[in-house]
Amino acid sequence: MLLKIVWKNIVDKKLNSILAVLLMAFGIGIISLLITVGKQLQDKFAKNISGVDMVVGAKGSPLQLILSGVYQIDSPTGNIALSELNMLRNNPLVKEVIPLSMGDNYKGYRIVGSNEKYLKHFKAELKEGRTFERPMEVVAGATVARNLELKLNDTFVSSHGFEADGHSHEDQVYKVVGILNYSNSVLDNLLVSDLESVWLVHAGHEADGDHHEEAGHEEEAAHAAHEPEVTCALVKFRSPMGLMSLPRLINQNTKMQAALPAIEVNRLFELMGIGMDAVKALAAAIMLISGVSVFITLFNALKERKYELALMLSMGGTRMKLFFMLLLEGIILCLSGYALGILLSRTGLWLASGALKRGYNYTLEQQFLQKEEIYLLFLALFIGIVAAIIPSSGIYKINISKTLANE
Amino acid sequence: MLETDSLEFHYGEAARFVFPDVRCASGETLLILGNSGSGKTTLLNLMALLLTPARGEIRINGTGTTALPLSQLPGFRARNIGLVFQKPYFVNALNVRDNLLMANYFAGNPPDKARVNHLAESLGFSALLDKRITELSGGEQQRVGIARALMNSAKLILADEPTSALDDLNCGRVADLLEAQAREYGAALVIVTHDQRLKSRFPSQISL
Repeated sequence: MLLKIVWKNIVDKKLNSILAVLLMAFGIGIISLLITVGKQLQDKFAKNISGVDMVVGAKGSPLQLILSGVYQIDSPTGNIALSELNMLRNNPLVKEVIPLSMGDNYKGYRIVGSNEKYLKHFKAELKEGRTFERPMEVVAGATVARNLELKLNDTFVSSHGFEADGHSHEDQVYKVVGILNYSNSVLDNLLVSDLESVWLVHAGHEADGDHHEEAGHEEEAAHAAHEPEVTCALVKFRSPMGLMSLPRLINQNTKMQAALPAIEVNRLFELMGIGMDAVKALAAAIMLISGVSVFITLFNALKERKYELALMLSMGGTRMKLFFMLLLEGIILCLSGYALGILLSRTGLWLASGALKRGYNYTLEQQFLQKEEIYLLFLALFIGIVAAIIPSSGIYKINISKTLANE
Repeated sequence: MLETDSLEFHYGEAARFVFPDVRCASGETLLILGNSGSGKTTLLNLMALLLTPARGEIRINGTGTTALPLSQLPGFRARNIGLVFQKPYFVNALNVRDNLLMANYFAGNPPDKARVNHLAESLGFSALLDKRITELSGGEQQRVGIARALMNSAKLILADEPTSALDDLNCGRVADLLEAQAREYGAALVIVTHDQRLKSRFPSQISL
């Protein structure tokens, strides 16, 4: 009955209630969306970074090098000679060098030339088939295979660059020999072949005299020098000592650039963090306004419903009970706002996931309540209680006989 | 059923009220007449246990109420006294039926839906049970108010100016219904009013 009265009163003040709920929902929704998206992006970024201590590539922006080399989302900075990498391989501080060669895509998914170490780096497991053994054999990442419906022994020709509608290399045909399980890493969105495949595709295209002048055609230099080149290489160190000396050594003494993923990613998140903090502050302000709106709703309610409350008191309702009834009204408003906010956030996540998928072939997962969202729940509850407690305590000031005798 | 002994109430030093003793047995109706300022509303509030007398005793159903601890008053009132107000005090967000059931709820009784239907039938507002209070006319609201006073089998019905806002036709009907319902449920009925139309209607009277 108490709940019914509370509910009917909320419904009776539709506009006020909707305003309070909407404000709370937007505040909660924005914060929750930022938290979940930020967290998933950070998880993804961290997962792909793990183990990669340094990336070497052509000179340019270190952030770009990391984004292209580790995350496969930006254009490469240029090419480096394979022979320069050999120098690194022989360094006693270096544990492993994984060369990567990019330049082509199949329907928007990047084809990366590398070796088996690249797959091992992500602890990738084959769902079916085998790994690449000869040139022009590829292993498809789980997302790629699913979205393009690739099966074993499927063949395709690659397109130049990273746009699906780039120039097709029709004389060289790739063959799918393996499909990977989900590793929840960048690998899911890649087609991996050996290094020679990439060289082959572009060597053939040189033989045709088919030179391109467009920007980002980083293979150009390779054709001129006839020396095998790669786009970049992921480097793992044997000891932290490598971190101290190698980047400087490379940057000063070679034509290559060394970038440290940990530092660049931190820089990226710091930049993103400023924006996120600003939006979070805005969302917190919206939540606060929601609290004020609950306060005003209840405050007016207490004035308007003074007679109703006095009536309930005269009918045997205790002040404590009516106090909780009013408090409950505030709490229900805030909690419905919370529920709607989480719903909004999940919808937003779904939309963002769709946008990211189209833009970067990255997906976000729908998750159950995050730890931070539980904190948000308590925050919403807290706001509801604080906003409701002052108007609600007005119940203790009502003089029943005077109010009801109001002549 | 209701007995008061030498009741006194003070609003500061200036306004002191000394009330005549009131006696009303089960099934009886007592009219307390008085003009504005005569203290009749104060007397009603004292009998309804909404005010505490400065002196004197009120016995309801054999219980001396001045000895009751403050925390037990709301419960005692809810179980024993049914109040009919001059103004239509209702919870506007609830419909007629829920306003009646609310009386059960606050008295700590289970919702008595059969009683709601029975009262609505005998007071003639069965068709209005699912309407909102604000959709009802003044006379209809007053009938619902009477029904609400009877929801918890009150031993004492206190009516504060139940007819003064009504036209002659509704005045007579409400007075009849009040008396009939009080008698049916064996409750003592005390009407506090300045409405002269009721004077000839009820023989048992006290004037303040």
